[in-house]
Amino acid sequence: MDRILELLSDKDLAFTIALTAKTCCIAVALHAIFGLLIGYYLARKKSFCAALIDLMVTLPLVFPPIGTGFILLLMFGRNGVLGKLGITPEIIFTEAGVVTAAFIAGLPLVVKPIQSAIEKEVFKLAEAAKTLGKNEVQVFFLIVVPAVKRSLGAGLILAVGRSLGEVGITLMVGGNIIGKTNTISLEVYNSVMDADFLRAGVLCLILGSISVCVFFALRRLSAL
Amino acid sequence: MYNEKGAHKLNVNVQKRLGTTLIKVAFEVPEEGITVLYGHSGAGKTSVINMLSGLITPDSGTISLNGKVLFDSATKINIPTHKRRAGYIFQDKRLFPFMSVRKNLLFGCRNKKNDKMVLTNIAELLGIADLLDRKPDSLSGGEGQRVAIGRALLSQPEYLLMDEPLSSLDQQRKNELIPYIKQIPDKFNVPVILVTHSYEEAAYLADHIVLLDGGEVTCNGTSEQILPQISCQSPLSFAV
Repeated sequence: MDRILELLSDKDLAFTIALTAKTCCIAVALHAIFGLLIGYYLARKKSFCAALIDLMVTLPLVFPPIGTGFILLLMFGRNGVLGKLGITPEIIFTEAGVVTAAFIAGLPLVVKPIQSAIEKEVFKLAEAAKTLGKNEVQVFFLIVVPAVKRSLGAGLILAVGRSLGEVGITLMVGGNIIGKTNTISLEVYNSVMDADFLRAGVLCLILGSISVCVFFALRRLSAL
Repeated sequence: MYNEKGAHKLNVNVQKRLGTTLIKVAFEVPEEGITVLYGHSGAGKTSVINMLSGLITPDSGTISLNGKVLFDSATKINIPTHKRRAGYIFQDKRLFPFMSVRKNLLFGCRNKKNDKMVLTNIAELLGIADLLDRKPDSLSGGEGQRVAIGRALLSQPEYLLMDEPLSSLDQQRKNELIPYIKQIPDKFNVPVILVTHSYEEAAYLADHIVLLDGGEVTCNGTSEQILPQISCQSPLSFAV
């Protein structure tokens, strides 16, 4: 018991929990915004460009996370593809990298349910709204969003779960730097590697508690 | 945008290819009363009113209402749907399922200052005042269609398009709804363009009839002129 209390009052652990919570909050906001926009775009458009975006969004779902992380490293690294073009976003081995990993890992789980929810019926309602004087932006917020809110809620629950448990992409892009980019999931891995199973167990409990809280919060929101 | 030619008339002269079907219609009807677009399923009736509403863009031609040009391919004028002020009552109603009847009715309401008064008036006129707090899922077919009519009227349309509004209703519900539709042009001072393939509906409702067949207008005139020429047994063929 003393050991558990000692673990819970550890400053490093407090940082890890705060980083994970912050990453989840930012990722869920990004998932909601981009999930809706990309899902709506993909449901509407059947062009080559749409197929390409669909492939890029879906790839992390079917491609090993460690591989996705490696591709991101090759793209965003200092000597990466974008770096050679003069574009150097500071995301590798930073907190922004951890958020990027969580965002990319969870995005297909939001986009896919929304894409399927925006079927013919939603477009029919959108047409009705246009005849009632609403423009495209108003139609999106007043008709499309309410029509898919349950799918959005379900997608966000899955995406948050995926983001919380993300290891592969975060390891490659974030670097697992202690006190900088070590999320709870990575700390579970680090603890097991150090044979500190009690710490790994406590971290799993914390991770589980956050997941349950987020699950009920989003379930309630999507039922409104 | 406005011209004197064709004032107080709906002028349509458009061409549109939809798959293998070519719709090529030209007609002029008065901007008053109820004009019925009458023809077989697949004659192009719904496509024509979709072009009038702006939901479908014609390949070429012009559409003008009361001198106001809504579409002109030559001058590249194409007023978007949300600016056309075309009330549209769809065959499948298209009420917003996540809103109450009241919110559905007020969705397109342009008279924000007196919205409650206008809502009450229209709801009473259409016999839907008791339904305001219900969700569309709980309405009968006839009630739902009356809510759809009320919603379109509250948006203060310059013309009202109705796509087979009675087709999904049984005879009793049809008989209930027909008087409501009949009174719209006079009570709300708005011309109605109604699509139907039913001879009885055309006979009850039409002041003016445009007969469509195979994507083309085959006849256009007042109901007194057109109805006697249409055989009731085979409504789309002319009695010899």
